[in-house]
Amino acid sequence: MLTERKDGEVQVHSDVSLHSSAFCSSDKVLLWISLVLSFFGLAMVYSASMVMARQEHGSSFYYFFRQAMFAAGGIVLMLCGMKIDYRKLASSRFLFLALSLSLIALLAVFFFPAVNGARRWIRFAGITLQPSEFVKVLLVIFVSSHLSRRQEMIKYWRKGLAPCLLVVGLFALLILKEPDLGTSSYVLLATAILLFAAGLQLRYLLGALLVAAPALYMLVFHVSYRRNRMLVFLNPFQDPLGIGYQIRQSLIAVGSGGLWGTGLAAGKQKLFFLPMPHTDFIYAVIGEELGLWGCSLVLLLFALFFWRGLRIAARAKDCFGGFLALGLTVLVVAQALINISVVLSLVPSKGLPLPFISMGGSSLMASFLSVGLLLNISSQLNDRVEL
Amino acid sequence: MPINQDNRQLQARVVFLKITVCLIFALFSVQLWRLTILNHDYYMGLSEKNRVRIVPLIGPRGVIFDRDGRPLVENVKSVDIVVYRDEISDVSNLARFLQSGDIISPEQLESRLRQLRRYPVFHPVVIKENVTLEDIAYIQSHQAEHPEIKIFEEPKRVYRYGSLAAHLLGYVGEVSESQLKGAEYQGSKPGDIVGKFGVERFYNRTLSGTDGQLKVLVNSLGKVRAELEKTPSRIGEELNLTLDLDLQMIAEEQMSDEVGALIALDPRNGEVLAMVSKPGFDPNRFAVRISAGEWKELIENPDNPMQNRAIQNTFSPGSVFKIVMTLAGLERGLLSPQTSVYCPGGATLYGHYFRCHEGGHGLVDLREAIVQSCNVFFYRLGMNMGIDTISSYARMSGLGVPTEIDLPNETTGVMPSAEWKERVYHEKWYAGETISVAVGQGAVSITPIQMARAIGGIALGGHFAVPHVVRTPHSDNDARFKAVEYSWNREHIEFLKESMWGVVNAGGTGHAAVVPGFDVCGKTGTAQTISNAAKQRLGNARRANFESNAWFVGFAPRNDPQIVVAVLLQRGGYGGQAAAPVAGSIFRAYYEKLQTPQRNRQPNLITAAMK
Repeated sequence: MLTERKDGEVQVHSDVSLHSSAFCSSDKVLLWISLVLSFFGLAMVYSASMVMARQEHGSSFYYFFRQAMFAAGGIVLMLCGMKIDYRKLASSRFLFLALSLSLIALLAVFFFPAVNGARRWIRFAGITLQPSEFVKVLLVIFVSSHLSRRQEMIKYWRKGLAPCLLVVGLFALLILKEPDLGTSSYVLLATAILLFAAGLQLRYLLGALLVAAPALYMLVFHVSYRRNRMLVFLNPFQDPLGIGYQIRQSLIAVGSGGLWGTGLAAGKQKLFFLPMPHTDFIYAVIGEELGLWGCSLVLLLFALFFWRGLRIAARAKDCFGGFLALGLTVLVVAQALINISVVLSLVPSKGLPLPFISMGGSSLMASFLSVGLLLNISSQLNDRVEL
Repeated sequence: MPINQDNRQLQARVVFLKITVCLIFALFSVQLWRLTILNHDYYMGLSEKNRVRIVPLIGPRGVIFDRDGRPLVENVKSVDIVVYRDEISDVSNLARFLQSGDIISPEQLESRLRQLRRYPVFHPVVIKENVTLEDIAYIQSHQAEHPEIKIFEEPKRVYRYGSLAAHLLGYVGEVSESQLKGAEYQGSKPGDIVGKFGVERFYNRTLSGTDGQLKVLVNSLGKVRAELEKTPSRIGEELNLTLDLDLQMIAEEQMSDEVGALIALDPRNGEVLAMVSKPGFDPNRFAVRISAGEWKELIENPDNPMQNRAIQNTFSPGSVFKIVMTLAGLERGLLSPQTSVYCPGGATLYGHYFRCHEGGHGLVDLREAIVQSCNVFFYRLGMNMGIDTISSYARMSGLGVPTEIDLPNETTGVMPSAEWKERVYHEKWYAGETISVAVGQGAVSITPIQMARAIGGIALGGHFAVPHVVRTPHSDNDARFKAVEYSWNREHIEFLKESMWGVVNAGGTGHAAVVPGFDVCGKTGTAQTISNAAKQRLGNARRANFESNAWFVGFAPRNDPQIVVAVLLQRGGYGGQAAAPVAGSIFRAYYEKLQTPQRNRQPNLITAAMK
């Protein structure tokens, strides 16, 4: 039943007993890391948003309850991701269907009202979804499938790289149009890392970088708010109340937290000083309220996540599983690293949520879905293979 | 084919990835250590300087216009001094500072802070309004020591014509603690300015603006460093009154030295054209949050300037009541225009002597009895009719019944009946009491607006519209203002109108109300406030306090009643001498305005500028 007829490189497994015991043999450490991260995230979302929620919605639990609902949805998605054999995802039929649906979803966002000038969301029945979050996961599946079929071809431009970049590029362009430069460049970055790991010749990557640099320069310096962010990054304290306000408040939050922090829910930066305390800047709230130890704990959890993810990639039973595990791990960890870099003012301000922790239903559910697939791969490992 | 099996290049690249991520984690650790340990004190200091202040943006109340669109009540900006209580470090120090700058005394500050103690602590408290330039200079030069004090602008109510129509327009003030507990001011918060009287109170919800707020970031010296968030305020809805400013001005002028009330209304739809109650007050003095001794002075005045006599106080109607008596007599068939009575100047009934005009009227028919206001005629009519018939017609005409006018604190008054006496005094009604009631004395006690409505309704043959002061786009079929209708005999009404025309135009008691070209009809009244016997016992000096109340109630023109005017002058003496000329000038002004084309609506400059 689990066959892939067209491509001999994907191995055929029809071991039903292995499949049914998927949960038992999957990577428990990774499962626990994800659950701890998301429960910790719920506590932080509540702490960071309670004042704002009471002001805007009359109940301090408004964002907390929404996020809790999405976490439940995410766990269901994770269980789904564990249940379906991941190798089915490599089939052309599935990919064609899923990519088409995603295309429709990404086009559909333009028909919904803009929020803060951006059209990134689809709304129905009171639920808001951000398709680009799920597209990220899908593109990783697509690139992995492509790589596993044509690993050798990757060295050749026309047959290997071009079709892959064409699809990814199309989606990246659509996301850029929303506009969401952060997610768009992040999709490209994750693809590049995956291609790099898959053995793409360095000259291609360097070439792509040379092509991308002017484009990125145009995109950053010719859109005023992005240019401002860049200038602020270069000198955050130059204009502390103008454009540098956000990053300055973020540094104040982390810096004033000290070693132990003010204690959960006791921080005051979130009281209208720090913008977006429960989404993009939640790491700053962690810094203020839980201090250095809270920040280190989050770093440690993501480091563990990275370690377990690579371990699964290295032991995956087939090539597709390996690339997929690598891609999904990179997807989650690299985003966390970028988010934290912004909060710590190591890179220019960029609106990416912190996976599992930031308020945001789509991001949380997509992260859980990634974990579900990782657990799925981990339940079918090769025995005793060391990297 | 698992990726690690045969490809050394792949392995190398994964190792490279791992090293990169490790380096990033190391970089994070260094940065975290720099921020939280190395520069902790620096960031702590910055954090302490972060302070948010909420500056309320008060939504101005809606503008009130007269019937021709002329603004009567508007808003201007007032400059106030406020205190942010969450930033007070030492109250006694603050009190000393405010005292030495002659801003307010420590006692006032204390009572002010206590008064608003339930107000959210981060909201500023106004401690002085309409400050002087010296006050502002004093505050600003000490801003560094007292960052908790701020200069603040808010809209203030302005009554353009001072005391004009003060009782109708009402006044505003800071909502009190007891008012906050009631249902009427639901949705108000401590410190809010609300309508407390008149239209301002009755239509408080409509007029109230919506407050906004500005969140600003301030430094430790209280200087605003950034605006964080702004919710703009909205002005309240405007109100168009039925009041006619021209008529009201003349009415105010005519009544200026009197104690009493005047009402002019359109009997067809109940629209109040003018309403005066004297003595009055200037609502501008109440439009402040902190009113000093003036309030006390006003409520201690024996003439009760704060009462709207037109709707809140009740009086004996005196001879004006004879119109209702005549209506009842004609409708019940106890009377015809030909009925005649001999008046010798008084009559002894049920063992009591009841007086009439000195010297007597001789033989009078019904019309003559009304025109000359003969009491004896109506004593006899009252005897025949009995109290319950009188009471029933009086109540049909709206006497002793609330008019349901759209103003607060309306009084019901009393229209006595046997049932009423039984209920209130647990006593039987004596037939002798009916005699007094028949000439509008005794227990009959009604408000001037009831009288105006009654005469207007009778003049229209039984159409009693609900008086109202606000014109809504659809007030003509507003259920609130629906008229009560009776179908009374047209001949009887015509006879009544003709008799009342005679009162003014054919040598009757009300000839002072005559307006050439405008057929004014009316009835005078001179209501005693004390019995004649008691009056005799008083000395001359105190007798003045118990002078009779002078009434005139009339309508015009005779064939198409458009306006009804009721004038009541307390201690005014004879209705024909004191009240009729006042009513006459109102009819004249109305008539003259009818002849001239209507004015255009003027734009309202002050409030337009505030928007």
